[in-house]
Order: sequence, then C-alpha cells, then structure tokens
Amino acid sequence: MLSVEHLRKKFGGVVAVDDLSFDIARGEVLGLIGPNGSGKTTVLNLITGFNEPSGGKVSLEGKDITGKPPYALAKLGIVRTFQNTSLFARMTVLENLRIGAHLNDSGKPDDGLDAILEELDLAKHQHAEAKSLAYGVQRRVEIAIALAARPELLLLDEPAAGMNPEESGELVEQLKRVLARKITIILVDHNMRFVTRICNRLILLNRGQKIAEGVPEEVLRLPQVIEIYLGKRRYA
Amino acid sequence: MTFVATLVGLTITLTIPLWVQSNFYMYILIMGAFNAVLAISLNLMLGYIGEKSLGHAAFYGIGAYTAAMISSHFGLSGPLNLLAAFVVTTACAAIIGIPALRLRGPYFAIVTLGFVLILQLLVLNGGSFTGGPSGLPGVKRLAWTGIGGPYVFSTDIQYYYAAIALFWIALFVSIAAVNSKMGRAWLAIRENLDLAESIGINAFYYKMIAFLMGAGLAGLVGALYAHYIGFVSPRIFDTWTNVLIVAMVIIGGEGTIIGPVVGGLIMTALPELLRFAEGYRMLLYGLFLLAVIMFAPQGIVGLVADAWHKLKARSNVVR
Repeated sequence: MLSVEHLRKKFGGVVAVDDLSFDIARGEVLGLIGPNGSGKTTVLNLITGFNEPSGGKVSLEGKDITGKPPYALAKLGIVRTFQNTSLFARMTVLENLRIGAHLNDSGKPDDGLDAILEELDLAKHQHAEAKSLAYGVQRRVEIAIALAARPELLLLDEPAAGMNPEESGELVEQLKRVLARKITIILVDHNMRFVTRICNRLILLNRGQKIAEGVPEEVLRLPQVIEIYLGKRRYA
Repeated sequence: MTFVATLVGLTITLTIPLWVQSNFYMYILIMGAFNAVLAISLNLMLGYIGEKSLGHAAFYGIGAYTAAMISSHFGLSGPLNLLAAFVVTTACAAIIGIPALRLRGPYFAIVTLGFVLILQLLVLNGGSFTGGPSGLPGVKRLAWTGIGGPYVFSTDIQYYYAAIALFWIALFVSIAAVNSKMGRAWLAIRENLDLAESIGINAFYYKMIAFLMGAGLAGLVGALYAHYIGFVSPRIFDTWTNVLIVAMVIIGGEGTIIGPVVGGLIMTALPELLRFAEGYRMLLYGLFLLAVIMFAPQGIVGLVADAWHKLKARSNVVR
C-alpha cells in the first residue's frame, strides 16, 4: 500500500532520517520503535507532509506522493495523530468529530460518528468540552477525530504516551476494535508492551536508520534492541 | 430565538427614520451601520480564522477611492461604482492573500500593515489621478438610471436605507458562512491549524475565502461612504482607521456574530456621547477601551454572555 524508498531528512547538520526504506501492506499494523531522537516522529511528519524530505520517495499504491501537503494526503486517505495532545480544545467531543468528518461529502456529517464513539468508549463524553476531559480520554478523542476522517492509512504518534498501565491496556482493547475497520496503521510508541500487543511487524530505528525489522517477538529478542532499551551493561 | 431577534432587529432598523428626525443622529446611525459592516467583514479573518489582519482599512480605502475615481474621471455614480469597488477590492485582496496567506506566524499581519502603508503613499503621490494629499472632492451622489430611474440618493434617509441594506446582507452572509461546512473549517483552522490540515482542511483555501469576503464587504462600505460623504482623502488609510476597525471587533467580541455589530455601534457613538467631556473626550475614550480589554477580554458580548450563564446557573441552584 505505502512504500518508503531511501527517505532522508536533514535539519541543518543533523540527519534525522537516513536512507530509510520500508513497505506496508493494506491491513497491516506496523510499529516504529526506537529511542528518543531516533527519527520516528520525523518519519511520520515526512509521510504525512508536515516536513519535506531532503531526499527519497514516498508512494501510495505506486503513486508518488512525496512532499504533498497534509490536507491533500488526508484526501488520499492518509491521516495522523500527533505526539502532543492535539484537538479542538474548546469544542465538545462530538463537534471535534464533526470537524474530523470534514471530507465526508455525503450530506450526512454525523454518519458513522456513533460507531467511532462506541469503539473508543467516548459516547458518554460526547457532549463534554474536549479540554475538560482527562488526559487519557483526550488521547482517545484525537484518535476518534482521525477516524472520523475515514482514513485508509492511520499514523498514530505515541497514542499511549503518558498513560498509566491500566489506561494503555484499555487503549489496546479499543484499538483492536478499530482494527476491525481493516485500516492500515503505522504506530510510533515507546511502550513495548503496548506496541507488541497491536503490531504485526516492528521496525527499529536508531539515529534515523533502520537497524532491525521483523515480527515483534523476533525484533524484541535482538541484541541491538535489548541494548537500546535496557542498556549495554545490563545486557552484558 | 434567532428568528425573533432578527425580526425585532429588522423592525427597529427599518422604522428608525420614522422616529429619528435629526440629521445629526441619522449621520451617526449611517456611520454606525458602515462601521458595523466593516467590523463584520474583519471579524471573518480576525474572529473566525484567527489571522491578525492589521490593514483592513486598505480595502475600505480601495473601495472608496475606486468609486470616487470613477465618479471624478468618468462622471459615473451608479451601481457600476459599487460593483467596480467590490471587484477591485477583492482582486487586490487576492494579490496580497496568495503569497501572505501561505505564511504562518505574524507575517500575514506584517504584510497587511505594509500593504495599507504602501497604498497611502501611492494615493498621496498619485497626482490628479488620486487627488494627492487633498483627496478627491465632489464625489457624485449615488444614482440609479436603470428601470424606474433616474433615482438619486440625495437624502440621509436614502443613505441610511442603503447602509442598512448592506448591513443586513453582511450579517446574513456572515451567519450563513459561519454555520456552513466552511465556518466549521474556519473554526478548526483557528483552534488548531496542524490538526485541521491533517484531517483534510485546506487552510490556505478557506483563509482566502474569508479574506476575499471580508475585503469585498469592506470595499462596498468604502464605496457607499465615498458617495455619502462626497469626498475621500488619504486619511482613510491612516493607522487610526486600522486601529479603530480592529478595536470595533475586539471591543464587541471577536469570533461572535453580534460582537462586531455591537463594537461598530459603540465605537461610532462613544466619541459623540463623550462630547460633554470636551478636552478630556479622547482620554475617556482611551480609558473605556483599556477597561474593556482588561475586564472583558472576550468583548462586551462575551461579558454579557458570561453574566447570563452565571445568572442562569445561580437560578438553577436556587430551584
């Protein structure tokens, strides 16, 4: 579905993403993992048009979409969430979703929003102002906004960041309901337990480069992964 | 509620000439309507999109000068003047908006401010074409020479109805836009630009529509003003005019439908109401602005709405 070829991004003298290539098939859930500063969010920014690549190519179904603006990519079905909580804070949850459904030209703007609210356990909060909600609920509202845009490829940037184990466990169950929509997902997160419960495949990034790729069980056993996440001395 | 309020508003505005006989008060009402439309037009960008447009007087002035120059150089003073004012103003807005609205941050505000300053210089140095520093006197009264004509707008009452017609058109256009899909996109851009773009909202496109609509309305007000007063001068592009339009929106309540109307009327009437203070008039005027900004940052409409909600909440508790 999506193909990333030799993607590269430089910020001044810093190479944030270095010759990164990968493919993702329709319906797959791909996890991008790596330590802080490894380039995960930059990869999401490059795919979704928030940053322009310094080199390389991004293709959707074989069509070059490199450098297209975010709104144009959303029309092609590529929608994202953000690392920091990002919603329409002064609006209710339902109003947030209605704006999320901006591209729905069916004349029924509320079509399908009830199902999204149910899947993410947001129905009881639908008339609450977004900024008044607890942090964990706000993160789910972000995902709901993205789903209202009817994505084919959904990129989630640290959706479980800052959540306690109970909240992230609930999010796993909620995302599994979302997966029934057959949406393709690229997920960035630090929480290994969270990532492995959702993703079919993982890519490990370090200093902008891909250093490992495979099914979660294999990748997590790799010495490089243990070294990055647990430290060299402990591994030795 | 909205229907009743509209009906009451229409009745009041249509019957005012029956019970206001003074020419002075008619002048204040006409200028109040002009200012309300100016504030409504700026509110689209400032209130709903959240872009700081600091050169809105440019479009007011372009509209006024277009109508005045057609009148002075071609002797025309009909609907063509209004149409030309609208077209020229929106075309100028497009020329400024295409590069400026693609920028993020304070650049749009800086570009609009620069634009109005350049315009003022051009008009000041335009010789007989613009009238230079002396402006263009003798702008003809608005006239209709088509079916049922000729009909010349020569009295204050006629201009009052022309101004009120424009006011209601501006108000209805603004209400329709805000309550449409476009209005939701405007609010989304104002609240969270990155998120709005990530879900398919083309921010540049929607900002441009608001900018063109606002500029076109301001151009129409400018043209009507030129025909009403019969004179235009480069002072129309003054910093004070810009500040006044922005203040009307903020004082009334930006991002609300009725706020700019309230702001426009108050800012027109206040200098006249403060005439009793003679030398201290402008001091009191400034203090009023300062007080509203300090104690009612959401504007007068926001202050009244807050008070109403608190009162309602208290009465619910008592019950």
